[in-house]
Formats: sequence, structure tokens, C-alpha cells
Amino acid sequence: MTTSLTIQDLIRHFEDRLRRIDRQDLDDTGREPQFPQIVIYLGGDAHSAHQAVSSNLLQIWPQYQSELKFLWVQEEESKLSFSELSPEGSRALSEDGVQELASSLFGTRMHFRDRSKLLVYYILDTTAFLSKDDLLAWFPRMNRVKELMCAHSTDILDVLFLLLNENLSRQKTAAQIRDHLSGFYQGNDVRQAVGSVLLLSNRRSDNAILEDWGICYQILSAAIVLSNNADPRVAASFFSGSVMTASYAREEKPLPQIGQVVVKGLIDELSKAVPPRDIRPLDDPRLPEKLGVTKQGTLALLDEYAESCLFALLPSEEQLELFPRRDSSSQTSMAILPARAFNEYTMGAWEQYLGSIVRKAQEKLSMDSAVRATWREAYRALLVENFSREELLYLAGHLQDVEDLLTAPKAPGQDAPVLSAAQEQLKYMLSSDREVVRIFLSALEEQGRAAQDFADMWNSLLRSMRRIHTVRDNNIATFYDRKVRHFYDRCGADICQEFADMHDTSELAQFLTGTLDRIVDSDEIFSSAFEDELENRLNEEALPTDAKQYIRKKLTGNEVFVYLQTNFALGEPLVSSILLKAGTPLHNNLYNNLPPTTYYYDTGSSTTAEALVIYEVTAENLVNGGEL
Amino acid sequence: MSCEITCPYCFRKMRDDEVLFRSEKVNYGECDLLPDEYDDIEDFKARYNGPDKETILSGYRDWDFFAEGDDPTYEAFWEKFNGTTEYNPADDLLHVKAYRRKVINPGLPAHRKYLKPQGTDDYFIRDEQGMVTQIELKTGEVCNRRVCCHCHNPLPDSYGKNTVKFAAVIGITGAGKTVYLSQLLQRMKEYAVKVGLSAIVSNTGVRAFLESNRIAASVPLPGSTAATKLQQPLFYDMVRDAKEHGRVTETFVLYDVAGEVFTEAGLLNKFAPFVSHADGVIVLIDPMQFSEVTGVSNVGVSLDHPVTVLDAVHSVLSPGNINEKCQIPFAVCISKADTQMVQQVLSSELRDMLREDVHSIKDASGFNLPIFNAAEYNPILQELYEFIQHKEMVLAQQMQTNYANYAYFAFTALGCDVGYFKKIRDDEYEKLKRQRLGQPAPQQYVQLDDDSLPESVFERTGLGELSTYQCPIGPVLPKRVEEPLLWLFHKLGYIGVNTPIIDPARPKICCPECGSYETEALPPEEQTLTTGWGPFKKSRHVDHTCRTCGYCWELE
Amino acid sequence: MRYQYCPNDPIRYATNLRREQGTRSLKWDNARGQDVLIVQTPFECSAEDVIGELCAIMERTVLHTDKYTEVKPGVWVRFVTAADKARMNGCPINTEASTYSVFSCSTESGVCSIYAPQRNQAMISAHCSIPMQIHIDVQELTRTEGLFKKKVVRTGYFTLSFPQDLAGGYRDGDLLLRVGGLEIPATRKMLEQGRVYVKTDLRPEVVSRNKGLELI
Repeated sequence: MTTSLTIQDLIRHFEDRLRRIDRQDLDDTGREPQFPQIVIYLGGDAHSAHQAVSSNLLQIWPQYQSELKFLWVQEEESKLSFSELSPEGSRALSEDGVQELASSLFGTRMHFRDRSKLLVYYILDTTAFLSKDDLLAWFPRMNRVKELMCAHSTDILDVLFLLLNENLSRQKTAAQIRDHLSGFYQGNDVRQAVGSVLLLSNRRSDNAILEDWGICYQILSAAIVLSNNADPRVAASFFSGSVMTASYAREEKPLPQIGQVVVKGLIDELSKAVPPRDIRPLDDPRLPEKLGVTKQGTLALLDEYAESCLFALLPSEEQLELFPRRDSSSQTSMAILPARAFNEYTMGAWEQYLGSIVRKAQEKLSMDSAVRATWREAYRALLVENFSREELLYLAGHLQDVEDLLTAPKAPGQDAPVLSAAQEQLKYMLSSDREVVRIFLSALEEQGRAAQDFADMWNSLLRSMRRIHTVRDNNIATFYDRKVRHFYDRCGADICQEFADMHDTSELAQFLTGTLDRIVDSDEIFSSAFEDELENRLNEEALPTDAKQYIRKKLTGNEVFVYLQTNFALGEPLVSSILLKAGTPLHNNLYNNLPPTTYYYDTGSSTTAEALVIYEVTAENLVNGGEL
Repeated sequence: MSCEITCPYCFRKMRDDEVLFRSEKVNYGECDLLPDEYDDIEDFKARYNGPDKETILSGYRDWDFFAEGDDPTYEAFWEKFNGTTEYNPADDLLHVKAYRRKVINPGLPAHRKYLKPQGTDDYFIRDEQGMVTQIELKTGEVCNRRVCCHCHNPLPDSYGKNTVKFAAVIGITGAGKTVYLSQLLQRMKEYAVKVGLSAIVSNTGVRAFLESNRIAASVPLPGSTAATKLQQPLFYDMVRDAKEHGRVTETFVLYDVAGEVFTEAGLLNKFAPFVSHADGVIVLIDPMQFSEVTGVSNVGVSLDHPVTVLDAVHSVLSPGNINEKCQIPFAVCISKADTQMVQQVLSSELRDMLREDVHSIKDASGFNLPIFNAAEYNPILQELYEFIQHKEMVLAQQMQTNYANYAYFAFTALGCDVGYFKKIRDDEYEKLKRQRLGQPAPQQYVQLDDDSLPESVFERTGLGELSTYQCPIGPVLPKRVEEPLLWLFHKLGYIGVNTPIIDPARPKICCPECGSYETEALPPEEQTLTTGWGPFKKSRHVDHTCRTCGYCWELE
Repeated sequence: MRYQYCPNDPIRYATNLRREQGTRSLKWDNARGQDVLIVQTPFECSAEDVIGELCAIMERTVLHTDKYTEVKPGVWVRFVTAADKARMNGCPINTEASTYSVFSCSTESGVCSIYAPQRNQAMISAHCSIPMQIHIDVQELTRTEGLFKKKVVRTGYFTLSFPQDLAGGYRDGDLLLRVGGLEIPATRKMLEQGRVYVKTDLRPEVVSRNKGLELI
């Protein structure tokens, strides 16, 4: 059976590998969630955020895999239904189950440092809303959920991440929602239901309309990370009872592109090791020998069996005298007769007797699956040793020719004394038996199938290459092509040989991922921080060298946009933050150049830097959506 | 010539000129001779005073004479059997049941006035042999539907002209009598030809029986017939070439009698005449009632067990003289000999013999001789006798004690297994036929394990369950069903025999010379054997001879 | 001619194969005018198991029209048309100690369709096993010595005498000679020879490996 393997799988493996390296030198300080928290997706559309949000959070807090809780709330036929979402899948919960889930967050096995509060993050997507009423309908449900979280006994801090769809077709509803949110400050039902609202629109401050919520999922993930914080200033800003929005920028190491260049390079290199198509092993004069056939045309493995098991069944010289004969006149010892003469004198009984030995052996073999399996395995090893995958594929496709070759032993002479000729005769008869020889042919068939599976898998891998776009950034392609070339100059021959000797599809995936790991280990550029990688790459191409300045500009410059359109300017930020690995040159550079009020959150990851600025949105900025 | 006729229904005798006739002329509905304002004839008689009153009344009486109506005599006969089973497909075309026609008695002056005289004081039309066959109405209609003057049941066309033999086929519960009879009647002509006879069907009973009891592969088997109903007698004219005597025709009448009637006194009285008047009896026994076959020994003997039924049959056949052996030919047949359970208990020799067809004996020109193939049958009889003697001792003893002229037979009327089938709904079946136009007609019944058709196309019962039918899984290959009948033909004198039929009860005597069992006792006049010549001539007493080697000896 | 094995067709039935009592003739029942193929296999071996293989073999074999043809070791076939059946009053058996099967068949445009027999019934079957009883005489070989040849002396040999008419359909190895711890297959050549010699002081025993060949 062929399991499919695509270039995307390999690129993903490569990315994961780099990320793992990146986190190997983590120190733990300041990067853990302070309080127990739960993310609650309200409705079907919100549930789409789970994949991105959970993976973003776990990238920063990987050790909290089983402690971060995600709940999906839906309304079905006027009843609330609950499901806990975990890496294992979705599990339906009763209301009691929700209470138990909330309680479990306060358990002693949890590692949250401060159990005085429970942080609740609601995520709600307005895409499917037909009017503001659809939004209003959620508030009583949120209250019910809060009740289940034991609101009366637990100090809950909650924030609603409202993903406001302001597409042209949904503007009316969006405006109604914004209008209603403006009542937050007057303490309306929104305020009753939730402590704060982080409003993220798909209509950005630069008028761009987002096709999907991908970037907003990153924003709200960053907001969760930032808000669940030991620093009271930062946390308080999030739960201060206001409607907020955010600007966001992100710079990261181009892992997918690097992965693509490296993986493609590897496939190209290995393709050279695949031999041309026109192989004809049947024309090879050494073919019988390679197939384990002796000069007499018998199979060596069967000869061994005959010697060890069948020769003992031949009669003794004395027993030869007992064979029925034509007359009672002969005085000579039967044992000295040539085989032919003895057979004639016994009216064919001798040949039949030998035939019966072989027949019994065949019957025994047909019942002894262990011997058959051992022979098949031994023959398989011989085939793998002597033939390439392509040759095996060819031979398996010409099974009849191979069978003819395997079952055409030369008839032994009949002039030697009867018992010695019998040994050759038994070998001859055993190798002439097509039933027995089928055991070996089945090994060839099996190997042929394995070679076909291998070829199929390899071809599907090559086909999957057609589905990926060329890396546009010439700089990345050139830089990493060179790195990979350097690796192949040193190890290419061994790798290609290993690839050529491979016969099993299960080995292929392992071999490819193993080789990618070796490439990662071969150059420290793969494990360097992203700003170093960028600097190195730019240097190589003699491009402007100040990578840190370049990144800083990307994170805080004019091209950073707010994810809400307002008519009036937003005030001073509530929080201005950078999420990156602390202590790196980039961190230092930013620290020295950005305002001192900037808060730095240590994510421990040197492959990414994010800038998240939170603004309060006043009532007038909400009401005036522009169109009303 | 006047001949005596025995009614095949009531078994009372009559002369041929005593028979009655069903009228060809039939008046239906209401008579239109009466003016509309009169309710009925009585009303007309009371109120009408016109000068043509008597003319009208006379016309009315003539009309009424031929009016379709109940026949109290006929009804009285059939009332015992829960109503008549007489059916003639032609009645539907003529819109009148034959038994509702006026029965004309040419002996009555009142009836004669409607008949055309055929001579001086004679109203009968006779055939070449002088037997009364028909009458003619004055209106020109010829009436040839003769009926018994006692019970008014129909007499087939030439019935009474030839010697009549009656035979009863008695099926003990579950023996498959209907299937047997259907297969026998279906092939009757073929079987008769095997022994040089021609079988001519002489009433509609055979056709009606075959129509309602068709046996074919993938066609539901006929259901069981109600024991209380009297089935119509089945008439055949058996014609044979009697060399110097010319063509000889004899009438053979078969009666279908359920075994159940012998288990209930009320029914037995009604059906007894059909057995007591029989010239031969064929009894079918379901082998599943043998303990040897089922492996279950009988605890007591149930009411429908063959032994009980045979006792009752014997009491009918030998009324008032229960201690006497019954002399009529009595064929005891094991039906369903092809079933697995039966095959398991029969010897391989018998199994092999039962797989064979009954073979005819041919003359030099290839024509079948009127001979029962006893040479082929004797070994079967011997094996069956031994089987029953050893395994069903009660039955063997009963036969030996009660019957002087019996034999055992075994046959299969199907020669194939029976499976459960479901029926394709009529509308779906028509659709299927249209789709396969030009090909052999598809089967309407599909064996149950066939899942190639969706369940929705099958017929269902009212409760939505799939209706199932028991059908033969073809080909249908009956074997030796004709043998008991041919044996009966031999016993009734229609045909001869190629070798004496053995008496299996007689001890087998082995020839001391050659070891053959083909031996026989010598008649007293041949019991002196003279050997030698002249002075060496010697005589000695012998009483047995070997038909194989000719050796004669005296049994010790 | 191409041969193909087809599912059972009830319209073309052929079954109830049997040996006519006291003769060497096979008889069967078939649909009117139906041609058949008679297959002889080793005793109690099913022809249905090998018929697919036989179809392939028959394509490359010249078949006799008036007698059986051995198409693979121990398997013989013979086509019998409806006319042949009528003429021969069935079909003669080839040899005993075998199983025979009847398959209905029809030929159209160079393709011979052979139809699977219907399911066997307890009594009616498309197969027929014909056993055979034989007697093999085993005698110690002696000679007489002395003045009046009255002294009987053992020669150290035993003779085995086979029935004359057995060799024709005999398969090598159907009979075994047990002697001195060996099991030696008896061959057709031995049967043709009629009498063979075994040098032994112990009486050889003959056993049958063919269930259809009963030693008496």
C-alpha cells in the first residue's frame, strides 16, 4: 500500500524542525500565563478561529498544552450545547461538564501562578449576523456561561473579541452593531455581559478589506498572551471596561520559503540518482546467477533444502534390493546399477519413488508456513541485494519469463550409480516443481509491488512539486540554494546511494525527513535568530545591512494599520507592546530606539517579532461608522 | 345392444338407455313473455284474464323447462363433499355451468314432448355399437352430455362402452399426492406409450387438474388440497393393439383420495365407495414418517401414520370380512425418494436403481411392447422389501397380513430440491419482460438468496412482509413415478410382464449348481427327472429348477 | 476453438450422471438436444475445481472426437453431442476408479461455452464416482528340490500378480507396495507386466492410495 507523501509534508516538517531548534534554548521567565484562562468560541463562525488561536498560543506557551482550555458554545434548537476542544478532538460537555472544566483550571496540577482570577476570552464573529439582534441574543448566553463558571465564587475577568464583518454587503448590520456597542459606556447589555470588548474589523484603517480573519486571529492570540500577564499595568489595560481596537505588525523568519527551497533542492538532487528507464535485466547474462540459480539450473535455496532434508529419505543400498523387479534372475547388487538401468529394471518404480519424496516434501511445505516465510524472506534479501528497484519492477512485470528461467533445470545424467544420481535427480525434481518455485516467485512479486509502491510514492512527491509556487524572493532562493549545494558537495554521493538502495516506501519518508534534519544541522544559519538570518542573507547579496532597523521600521513604521476604521483619531494607546525573544540584538535595538513606554513581552521565539498596540475606542468613534 | 354402466361417482348401475342428458338449450335470466306489469308467473295467473292467457302460460312453461337452475339431485350428491368440483373451461365461454343445465329424462312423457323422436317410440341416438349417446331437441339442438340417472353426475363421452377399471390414489398426509398426480397426468401419454398403450383423456378433469396444479422449476408448488372435497375422477381410455383381437379400449378411472379421510369416521363413510369399488389402489407414503429416515423412533402410532391409514383402507376394502386378505392389487409407494434423509438410509444399489428411468421393452422393429419391465423392477422390489422388512416391521407385517397382491415402489416426482422463492410484482414483471423482449421470458419467482433485485419489486403480504413461495429448484426430473401405475396396468390385465414379478416375501432359493437366485418351484407334473439311457436310465424326484443354468433338484 | 466456463443455465441442464447397471456405459439426463462434456477426474476429485484450468488447456489441445483425451495428468475429457448420446445410448466410461462429471455445453462462432452444473441434489447429481474392486495375488516364490522334487525351498522372492485389465486407466502410484519400511509406488508398467518380483523374506503388502480402487 502506498501512503502518499507530498512536498508540503516535507516543508512542514522542515519548518517544525526549525521551530523546535529555536525553542531549545528557552529560559522560562516571564513567558507563562499568569492566571487560569479559557477561550470560548461563540457560534459556528467563531469556531473557525480555534485552529489558529490554539496553535499560536501553544507556540508561545508549549508547556501549557493540557492546561489551556477551549470551549465551543453553540445554540441548537434554543438550547445551548458545549464542546471542549482539545488536540484530541472535540468532546461534548453537559452544563455540569462546563462547571467541571472551569473547576479543573484551579486544580493543583495546573501551573498557573495566580489562581485568584479566571480570565475568560470570548470570540464572536458577526459574519452570519442578519441584524444587531443576533449579537444581542448572545449576551444572555454569555451570562449563562459565566454562571456555569461559578461567577459568584470566582473572580472573572472577561473580554469579548468581536470580529466585525464590515464587508459592503454587511455594512448595515455592522453599523447597527457599532451603534449598539456605543452604549457600552452607558452600561448597556453589552457592558452587563462582558468586562471589555476588543473590536477587530475586517475593514482596516487604510481602507483595505481583509479576505479572511487570519491576521485578526494573530492579533487576538497576541492580545490573549499579553493580557494574561503578571504585569498589572498591561493586564489592567485589557480589563479596564472599555471598547478597544488594535494595530498590529509582524515580522518573521521566512520559514516556508526557506523550507521550500531546501526541500526542492533535495528532491532535485535525488532525482539524479533515479536511473534511466530503459533497463532490461532479462538481457543480462548474469541474471540466472543473480536470481540464485545454479549452473545446473536448480535454485540454490532448494538445493540446500534437498541436501538437508530429502537426501535422508533415499533408501539405503540394502533397501534398493526391495524394489520390485521384472524377474528373479538378477544376481548383481542393485546399488551398482546406473540410475537408468535400475529404473527400467524396476519398471519405473524408482522414478516414482523419487517423485513421491518430492511430492511429500511439497505437501509438507504447503502446510509449513514458517518454512515458506523463511524462504521468501531469504529470497527477498537476495533480490534486494542483487537488483535495483527498477530492475525488480521490470522482472515482476515479466514473471512468466522469470518462472520459465527458474523452472528449467537441466535434467541430470542417468548413467551414474543409482543412489548418487538420485541426489541430483531430487534437486532437479524439486526445482522443476512449479508449486514450490512459486514461493520464490511470490517474493519477487512482493518486491516488485514494493518497487511499484516506491515509484508511485516518489512520483506523487514529484507531482506535488507542481502545486507549489516558486519562491518569489530571489534573495532567499539564491541564498539557500547555495547553502544546500554546499551540503550536497560534501554528502550528496552517500545520500544518493542510500536512496538508490532503498526498497521500501516506509523508509522513504524517514530517509527524506532525516536528510532534511541533517541539512538543518549542517549550517547554523538554519538555527540563527531571524534578524541574524536576515542580516546574513542581506549581506550575502550586498544589500543594506541594518536588518534591525529594517525590522523596526516594519513593526512600528507608517505601514502599520489599525484594524478598525474610525472618523476621529484614536487617542493615546492603552498598551504599546512588542512580542519577541528578549535579550536578542533586535530586542536591544528596539529598546534603544522605541519610546520607553513600550512593553516587551518575551515570547522565547527568535523566529518572529510582533508589534501590538491597543487603543480605546470612544463612543463617538463607534457610533459614527461613516455611513450612518 | 344394451350395456350396463357403473356410475363413476355413485357407483350405482344403469342401462345405457337409462342415462339422462343435460340440455344444450339453456334459457337465462327472466322470461320476456310475461307483460311488464306482472311481478311473476303467480301474479300473472291471478290477475291476467286476456284471451291469450293460456298461450302465454304455455309459452312460459316451455321457456321455464330449459331455464338455467339448480339440480337438487346433483346438489344432494355434492353436498356431502362441501360442494361440487366440476369445472369445465368451456362453461365460462358458454356462460353457464354444465351442472346448471336442465337434465332431460327421455323416459318421462313431459320431457319427451321437447324431444325429436328418432324412430318409433325411441328418442335416443346411438353410436355404431348401439350404445345410447345423445338425444335431439325438437328445436334441433343435439344433447350429448350424458349424466347418471341416479346422481346426475356427468358420464364422459364413450363411458360405459368399454370395460371400466377404477383405481384410487391415496396420499398419506405430506406424501405429495398432488405433485405426484400432476407429474403422472402430465406425462401419462408418454408413460402409456412405454408399455405399448395409448392413453386418451376422456373428460376435462385431467386438464383442469393440470391447470391448477402446474409443476415446473421456479413455479410455486401446489398447496395442499382440502381433504373434505371430492376431486373429479380422472378418466382415460387406454387403447392397445391386441393382435388378433384388434384394438382394445378400456376405460381407466383414477380417484384422488386424501389419506386424511381415513382418520375421520365422518369423512371415511363418504369417501369409502371410491376405495371399496377400486380395482387397484396406489398408496403414497411420506418417507419422513419412517423412524429410520428421521432417526426418531415412533412413540405410539399417530392418527395419520401410514399404518393407521392402511388399516382403515383395509377395512374399507374388505368390509365385513376383516380376516380375509384383500385381493386387489395394492401398490405401496415411498414418495420423495430423492430427499437427503431418505437417500442416507437406502442402500447404494437401490439409490442407483432409483436414479434410472423406467425402461420399455421393445420389439424387433423398435416399438414398445405391452410389457411391464419386471426384470428391471424386481431388484428394486427386493431392496424395498428388505428395507421395509428391516426398518418398518409394523408396515411390513400389516401388508403381509392384509394384502395378497401388494408391491412396494419408490419414486421422486420432482428430482430436484425445493427452495423458498419470492415473487416479482406483476407490474414489475411486465416491465422486466418488456426489457428482455426477444429473450426467453424471465422468471417471475426469484430464489430468496438472490439480492440482485431491489426488495421493493417483490410482492408483499398485507403486513409488508415479503411473501415466500416454495418452488422446485430445477430442472424437474421425475424418476419412476409411472412404475406403480404400469404395475397396476399389468395387474389389471392391460399388459404382460417380461419375467414373473417376484414375491419378495418368499424365501430366496439359491441354485446349488450355479448360485443364482433365479430359481422356481416346479409344477407336480414336472417333478420327475429322468436321466441316462437304456439300462442306465434313472428317475428321481425334483421340485425346483434354476432358470439360469437349468439345473433341477429336490429341496431338502 | 475457445472454451469458456459459464454460470449454470437451467435451460441447458445436464445432470443425473450415472453408470448403467451391468454395463460400461454412462447415462445422464439433459435438456432436449443438449451437447455435453464428460470429464473424468481421479476418484472423488471435483471436476468443477479444475474446469477453468481445463478450458485453457483444451484451447491448445487437439481433442479426440470419438474417445477420451487426457488433458492433464489423471484428467480426461470427451465431448458428446446429442446425436452421439442417442447413437451410443449414453457414453462409454474410460476407466473405473474415477469420478465422472457431466457439463452441458454449446458452441457458437468458435466459442464453446461450458455451463456449471446445477447444485447437487441428494439423489440427482452431475457427478458419478465409479469405484473398482481388484485382487492382487501375493505369493511367496518357492522351488522344489531333492530327488523327487518334493522338498519345497524358499527362493527369497515374492511374486505379485496384477489383474490383466487394470493397466489401461491406472495412474502410477495409485497402489503402493509396503516392504522393508519402504513404500514403493506400483507403476503402470508393472501392471502391464502382470507379474513382478520382490526380493524379500517378508511378505510385501499392497495398499491402495486411490479411494476408488478397493483391494479385495
